[in-house]
Amino acid sequence: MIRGQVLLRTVGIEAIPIFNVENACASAATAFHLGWQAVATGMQDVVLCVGAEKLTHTDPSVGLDAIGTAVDVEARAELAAELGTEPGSTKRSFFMDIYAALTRAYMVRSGATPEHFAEVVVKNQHNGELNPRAQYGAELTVDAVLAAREIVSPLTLLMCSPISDGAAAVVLASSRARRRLNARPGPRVRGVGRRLRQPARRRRPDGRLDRPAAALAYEAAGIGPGRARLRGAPRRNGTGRADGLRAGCIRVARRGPGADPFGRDEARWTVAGETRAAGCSPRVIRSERRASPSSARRPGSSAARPAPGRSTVRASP
Amino acid sequence: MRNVYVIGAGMTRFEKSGRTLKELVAEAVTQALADASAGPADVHAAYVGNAVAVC
Repeated sequence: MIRGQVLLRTVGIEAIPIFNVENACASAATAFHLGWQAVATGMQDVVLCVGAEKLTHTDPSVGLDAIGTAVDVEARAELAAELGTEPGSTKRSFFMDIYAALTRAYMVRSGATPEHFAEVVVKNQHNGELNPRAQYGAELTVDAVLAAREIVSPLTLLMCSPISDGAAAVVLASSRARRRLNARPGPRVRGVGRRLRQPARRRRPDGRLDRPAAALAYEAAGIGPGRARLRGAPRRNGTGRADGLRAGCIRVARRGPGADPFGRDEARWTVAGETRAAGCSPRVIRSERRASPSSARRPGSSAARPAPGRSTVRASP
Repeated sequence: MRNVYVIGAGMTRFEKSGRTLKELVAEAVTQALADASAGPADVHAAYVGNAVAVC
């Protein structure tokens, strides 16, 4: 109940306001959001934002069960019945049943194939290799991802988040406090946006909410998506499905007038390597689409290389 | 709104380490404070995100 207080006492941080933030997968991002808000509004000068998780246990079902509670627990049995599964499975997190159902629906709607999701995993593993602290980072192939053990069709083991222990922390400060501490000039937070997801049953068929959240962040940063570049996730995260879809939603990858309403663009961007950590600029995506609207380039092609000198939504010195 | 800067960052390895949550947080926070040229007493408020922590 007072995890933050207990955890931070070990490093000598106490007798200050300590806020415990629990918001499922977004817990650490929410801690960051609140810390940013406190400094931006002038309430605080220096804050610490932490994200920490420990999921390993001698009994593996303990961790899986814990993840499976990130739903309306009173409706869990009903939701499980709809999905044709049981919430208390010891083999997988209940969430993989939910994600697999969403993935199957997305495939029907968009024409995306399991190969597309495997491409996302290959790309994320590549990104992971750039971070020496990431859980995974070896180069993978689409075939290896598809051949891995099936968790719930069409998701294989390598498409699902691993059980993991780890922590990350940032110190945020006002410019006055930064000068006082003589800290190195770190990146400036340009903007933060956040939107709550609708409950599953009331969600729009395409499930998209990143777009309004991104709009909020761009507004706070005072820039538009044309000046933003996507930075890759340091570790494998969620399921492959979410990834290319998200690039389209946050408008880093622009959906032009001829954009496919069913998400086929997102699948093609992923295959073309445009959502890799090295990324590419929206301009590259647009010009490639004009030049060759139906072709899907392989990762590493010249069109998938980053354009130099683009600004990023996350940081400016 | 005032400008906000990230003046320090720290991160543990992500793995099935079996380490305790206290150990993980201590490592990340110690790194972040050192990176920021700050000490525990310089922090005015803290926000700690955690969802399930199987301790």
